[in-house]
Amino acid sequence: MITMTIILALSLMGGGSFGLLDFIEEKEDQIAEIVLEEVRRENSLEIIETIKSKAKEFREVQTSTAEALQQGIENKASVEVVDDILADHFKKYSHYNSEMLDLRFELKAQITKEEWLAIFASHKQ
Amino acid sequence: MYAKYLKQYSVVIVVMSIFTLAGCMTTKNKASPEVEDQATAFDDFKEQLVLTVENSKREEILLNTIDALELDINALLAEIKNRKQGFKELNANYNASREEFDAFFDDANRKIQLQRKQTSIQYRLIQELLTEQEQKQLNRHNNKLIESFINSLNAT
Repeated sequence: MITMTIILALSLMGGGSFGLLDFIEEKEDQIAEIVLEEVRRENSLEIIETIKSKAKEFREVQTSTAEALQQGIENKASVEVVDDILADHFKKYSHYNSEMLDLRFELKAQITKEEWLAIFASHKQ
Repeated sequence: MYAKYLKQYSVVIVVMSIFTLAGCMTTKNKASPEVEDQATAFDDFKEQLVLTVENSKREEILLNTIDALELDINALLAEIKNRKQGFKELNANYNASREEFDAFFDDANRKIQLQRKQTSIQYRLIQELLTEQEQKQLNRHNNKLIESFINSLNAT
């Protein structure tokens, strides 16, 4: 039932299950170009690799949650069962965001204020 | 029997509708083609629902639920857009503290809990009010609905 699928999507996406910090991984090229000092640049790119890896892992968690929900709905799972699946997912989501935030601050420690502003300039309003 | 559901959930649905309407007001005037397609898909679905469900009480509750679902989706799309932009701006601030990020996550988590409650209510309602046969009859329109929703989501 498609309305159920929409509800699934609402639960996952509306629940904020997309990684809020995933966009940092897209800044790899700018970091490589803007951070000229080799040691800091290499450290930064290493952190970006870790961010990418964590983001990939979490996308797999999202997929398995969606599959569990889909299966639950097909088997006419109770509201409580569906809610338990979501509660478990959001616990993982919260942990993921916390880890990503740690990495964001690790990255910041490698980058000067001027470099940071240049890398993320397009995100300023 | 259905009067019970109507009485039990009508207030919730109205409150949900007001809440979600407030959330999507700013984007209402500038609907993208994807959002317009989605609105059409919802209208088609509701038309088919009226043709499929013969019990008028169930039909009324289901239509209210689908309306609430549509409002939830629109509010969700607006929320995702705002949240992504807000977070990017916060991150762009070199001096942003951990506490500021934590406050942002706390706000997002509060909305997650609210969304979960709404999801549970809608799940329960649809599960209880639509028969297997009706679900089969609505399948084609359902597919259009999900396709339009995914397109809107991708365009956000």
